[in-house]
Amino acid sequence: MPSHIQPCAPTWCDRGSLLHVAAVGAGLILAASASWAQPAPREHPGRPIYRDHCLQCHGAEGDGHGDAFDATFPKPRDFTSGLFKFRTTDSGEHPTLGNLQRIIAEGMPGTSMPAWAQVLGPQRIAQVAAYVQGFYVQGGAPPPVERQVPPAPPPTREAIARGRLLYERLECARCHGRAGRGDGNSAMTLKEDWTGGPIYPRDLTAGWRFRGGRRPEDLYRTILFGLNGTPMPAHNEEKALAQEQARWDLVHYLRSLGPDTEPEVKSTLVARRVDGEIPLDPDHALWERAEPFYVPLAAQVIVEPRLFQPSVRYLLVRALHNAAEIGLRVEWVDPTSRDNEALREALRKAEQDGRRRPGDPLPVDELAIQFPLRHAARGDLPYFLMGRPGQPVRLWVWRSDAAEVIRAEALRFGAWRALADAAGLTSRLVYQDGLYVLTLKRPRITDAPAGIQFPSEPGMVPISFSVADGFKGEGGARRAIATWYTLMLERPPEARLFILPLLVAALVGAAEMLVLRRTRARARRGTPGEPREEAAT
Amino acid sequence: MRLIRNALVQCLAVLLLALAVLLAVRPPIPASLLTFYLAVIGVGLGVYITATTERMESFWRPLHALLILDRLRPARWGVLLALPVLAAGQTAWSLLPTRQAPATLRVIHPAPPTQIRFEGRSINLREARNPLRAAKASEPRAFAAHVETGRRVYYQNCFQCHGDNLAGDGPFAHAFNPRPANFQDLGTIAQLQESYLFWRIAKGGPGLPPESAPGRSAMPRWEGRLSEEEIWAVILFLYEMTGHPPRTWD
Amino acid sequence: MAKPCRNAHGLWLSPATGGWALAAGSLLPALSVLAAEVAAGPAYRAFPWIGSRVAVWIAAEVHLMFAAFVLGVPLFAVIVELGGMLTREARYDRLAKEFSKLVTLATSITAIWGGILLFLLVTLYPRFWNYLAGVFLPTLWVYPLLFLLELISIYLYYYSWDRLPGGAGKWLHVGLGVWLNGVGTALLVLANAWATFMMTPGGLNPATGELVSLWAAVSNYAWMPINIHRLVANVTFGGAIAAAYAAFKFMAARSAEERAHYDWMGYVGMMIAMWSFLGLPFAGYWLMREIYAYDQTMGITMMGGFLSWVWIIQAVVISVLFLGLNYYMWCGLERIAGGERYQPFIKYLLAVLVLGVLVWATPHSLVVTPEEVARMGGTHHKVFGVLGVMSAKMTAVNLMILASAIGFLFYRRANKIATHSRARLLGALQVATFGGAIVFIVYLGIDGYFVPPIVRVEQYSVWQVLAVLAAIVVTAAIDLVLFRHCRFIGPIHWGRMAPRSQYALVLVAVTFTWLMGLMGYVRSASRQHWHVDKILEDTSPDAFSPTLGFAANIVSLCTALFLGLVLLIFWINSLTEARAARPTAGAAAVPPGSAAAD
Repeated sequence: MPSHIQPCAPTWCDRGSLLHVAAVGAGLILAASASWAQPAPREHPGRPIYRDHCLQCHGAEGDGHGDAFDATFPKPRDFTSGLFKFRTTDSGEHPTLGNLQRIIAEGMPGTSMPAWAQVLGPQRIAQVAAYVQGFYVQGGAPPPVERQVPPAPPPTREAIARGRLLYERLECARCHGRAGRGDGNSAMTLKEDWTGGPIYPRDLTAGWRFRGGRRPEDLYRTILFGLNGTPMPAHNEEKALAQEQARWDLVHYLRSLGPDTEPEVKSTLVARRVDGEIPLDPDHALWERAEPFYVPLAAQVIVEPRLFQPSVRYLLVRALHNAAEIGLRVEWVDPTSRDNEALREALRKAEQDGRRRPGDPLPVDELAIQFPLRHAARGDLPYFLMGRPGQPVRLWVWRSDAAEVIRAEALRFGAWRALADAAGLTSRLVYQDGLYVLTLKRPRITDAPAGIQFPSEPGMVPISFSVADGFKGEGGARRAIATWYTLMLERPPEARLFILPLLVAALVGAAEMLVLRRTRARARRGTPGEPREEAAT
Repeated sequence: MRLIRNALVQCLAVLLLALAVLLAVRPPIPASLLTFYLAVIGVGLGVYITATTERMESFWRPLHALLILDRLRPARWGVLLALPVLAAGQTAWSLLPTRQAPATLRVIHPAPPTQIRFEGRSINLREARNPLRAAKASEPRAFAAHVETGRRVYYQNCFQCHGDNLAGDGPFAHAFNPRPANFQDLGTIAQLQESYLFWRIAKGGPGLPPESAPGRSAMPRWEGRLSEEEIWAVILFLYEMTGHPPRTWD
Repeated sequence: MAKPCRNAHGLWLSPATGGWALAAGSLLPALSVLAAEVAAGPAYRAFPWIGSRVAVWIAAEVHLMFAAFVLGVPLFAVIVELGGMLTREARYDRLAKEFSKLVTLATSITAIWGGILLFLLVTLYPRFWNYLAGVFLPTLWVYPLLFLLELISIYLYYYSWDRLPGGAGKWLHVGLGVWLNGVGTALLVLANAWATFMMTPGGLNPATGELVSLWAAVSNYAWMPINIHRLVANVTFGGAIAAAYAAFKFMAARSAEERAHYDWMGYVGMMIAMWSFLGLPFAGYWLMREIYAYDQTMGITMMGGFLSWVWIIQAVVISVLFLGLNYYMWCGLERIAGGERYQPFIKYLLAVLVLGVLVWATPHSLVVTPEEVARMGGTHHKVFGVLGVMSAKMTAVNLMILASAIGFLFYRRANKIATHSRARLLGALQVATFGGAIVFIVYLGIDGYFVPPIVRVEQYSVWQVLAVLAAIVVTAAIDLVLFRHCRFIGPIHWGRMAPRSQYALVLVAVTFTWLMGLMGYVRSASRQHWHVDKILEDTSPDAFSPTLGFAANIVSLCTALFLGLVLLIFWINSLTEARAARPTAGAAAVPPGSAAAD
């Protein structure tokens, strides 16, 4: 009997043996005629899908060496290893087919693996998942045992507080850092199992970039069953997490570390108007008045030398201004800094391995804020990669090896010449738990010739950013970049805001009265052609 | 039934329906387009009302009743009060200090130059044809090989921005403004000649004319990094993958 | 009536005519002297305050608008006069005379603006003028002579009207009208040669830039299409302005008789504008083809480059014209007994027009903020982006034309009842023709998304237009048969027209004027930073292309100037009429039984 009929048999039998016999007979005939018509073995239905959509990265052999190998980081998964991170199976086991389908359908945020649900649809995803399974499953192996993830209870304040204690007790901070920014002491020394290359712990404060999904169930799964091929262990044997409640407490705590949806990308960074002095203290309450402005960063893949995976993925910028000054507060996550333990431990390890000599200079982190030197209100701007000859940009550059932010003149992308005059620019940098916070301020109008000015009229200055994480080898042209945004000085409400609406209301009212009087007068006279109304005063 | 026959009721119904439909469209349509659509519909309704005297009267009748009938006095004053308030509100709203940079009027597909210099050679964009396309009919194998070359070029250089599925949604796409082109869209390569794509790929964002804001474009200049044949191959790949035919003039 | 009129004009005209004589007589000989001088002198001079370019722009545009009017109106005035002569209906003759009176009034202003333009060009752009004069010198001698001839012919045509009332005299007068149009067309064609040479120069030695053949320079790529385009557009424009004039007179009319006359005049003017308007897209298409043939880059600059936004504005403006003309026709149903039978269908035609406008004017490049781009996931909208491409727009425009044609058929038959023995069959045939055309057009519109662009451009769009034209011709032919011996429900009550319809006429005239200015901007801007494309570069501070918003403002200014001057003419005309203190002859009365709508 053809195997594909077997699962149906019981149901069919209930309906009667005649039907059963007929069906089996038909199946046999069909199978026979099919084999007669097509002597060659049939192509796996997932194969053409794989060829059209997956092969360019994952390779024809499924070993991750596709055309895009050099241009991607993290590298495409090597399916032949059978090592998959996101599974609802025990540590070291293969994933279920459903696990594969899920990742294919939803993709992995922040990597070059996109979500295929819209393009392929569930049926073709199932086919291609089965095909991918063929790369590592030799025939006859028993399918992995699927573990169930129960539905998540709602988060409570208490649950989060308990989760925090668990985070400390389980020493999650050793890798993920105290605040969860992936800056733990051993964070920069970890290795993955596919190629033996470095792997970095997840920054837990940006939930929209969790590769395996951002739902509570996804975190539960990762904590419990670990990530195969990575240092992230399974915790299903962990005593502290034996209770279902404790597991969810930890999940809720992790989810409380940051938002799980990506902030909206906007075009205009509004500098709120304040009365007091612009504070350089990043924790000053005045900064709370300014909305955080989300700046997504891309790798600089445009000019040589290129970068494919930026370390820093976004900035949060706040801006304030008063009558005389403008201030910016920029924060970004970077797990390594000159004086944090993660960097020191990584460098020690590198020295042990001989990849670094003692006394080599420390890696330098950079942030550059750029403004066009000249621009028309609506016209074109200098090239967003630090301008070009004839269309210069001005930079404010912070480097981790310098005390103050400097003003500089860009020469080409990633290279600049410092200007001697500070033009009143002052700054302050704070680094804590993987987070850089740079505050800087400057008089809005300076007397420096050909400098950047921030006048109230028109009150808009284009602005852009770029960042380099020295430890990851970034610097020069290899840096994370942003497009042009507009820094807009918020205006105090003007007098016409109050006068004009009143004027408009008065005009509309007067027109109404005119119509009303004319209509009523006419109705009284009973002008022909107008609809008759019985009682008009 | 009488209510439906009234022109005022009809107009309000059409206006509300149009507004509801336009607001329900996903993804949301830009404000400029919404304003324009509503304005056109408003003008159309004005024409509808005034095209016949009878309908004008039908439109006017409820308003007339509202203005003169004693039993409608509360409603009358409600409306008479509400209109100036709405007008004032609208004025104030439009005067509020804007917190957004002005919308940009960028030409997405500017006029190409007649000819360009590519690696020291002059290429006439008007006459240039994709030299690899000829193989499509005559040598299917060679053609498939060209498409494969294009595929390799695309996934080594382009997909980070233009996306795995050529839909302009690669992992870096949202960090750029303008967004990388969506090749699947009917409004992009389907409207263009292959030689136009060659120009755009070879010269990149920096080669755009001023009206297309070259300073904002993240499209690299591929001249010097990709050979002429690789560029033609990746163009072939784009059209083959999306199923769009290129525009031709002959 | 004629006598006081002439005196009044004479007073007013003499300085203006003299002004032109000054320009023609003294300036032109002086030009060659100037030309010799500028070889050493500056290439440009600055006009105070508004700058040279804007000064020349305004002078050229206003001159062109007046010239279009002056050349366009006689074209149909003669036809109307001939019609009056053949049908022996006095009202046509009166109408034709009234049309040509407007022309005589406008001629002087045309000359003045021509003089201003000439002065400005010679003084502000001496190097350019020197070059152009060098290429076209012989034509510069012919032109003023032609202009004087035109001037004389116009006055002769108008003032001899009552002297040549009938018989052979009338034939002579019509012949004079034809002669006048011949001279006018020659003027137009000559001036077009200079303008199109700047755009698509020819007849030059490519190596040295020397003139090889004057004829080749004159008959350059864009010359003939522009001649045709302008000739037709002048008729359209003249009709629209004459209709607006009638609208003013209608609203100012005191007597029912006068109202009836001007209602009818407005109607005739509007019909002339509408039917000649239908020819413009074809002339425009030919022009674009020639421009592409001359230089594809220039074609793309106009259609897809920085000027592409103009076409969206053009779509909106032409939509206004569509709506205005149809609206006028719909309002006209009320003055026809039996018209109420067709009023219920108006709303469907209106719906087609409004939806057509929405599709037609949906831009390909949207005006968007980055936030909106992020929400849409790109600069193209998934749903409405579909409407931004050619297939949708061609379909929309063709359906709008069909809707207008259907509306016109309604108007034509408003007071008629067919008595033809096969009336039902013929009616069904008409419905089937329109229905078939609509289905065909929509089918091509949808299928157009799935065929290569070349098929869409060169086949589908042509078939769509042909389907529209065929449907119009076939249904009109059936209509002629159907209503050959029809029964009339009642007369057309000329003068029984709501004033709001007259505003539509005025709106159409203003819109036409503005559209003409805008298209002038496109044509000139296509040269970008060249005086003469790729021959003589513009090195003045104004060499950049003005933005669309700025251009729209200047065009609006020119429109306001033109219309203001036209209003002045109308007003002065009304002064002379008041002095003429008529009772007029029986010519004004429209026979109440004259039922034909055309």
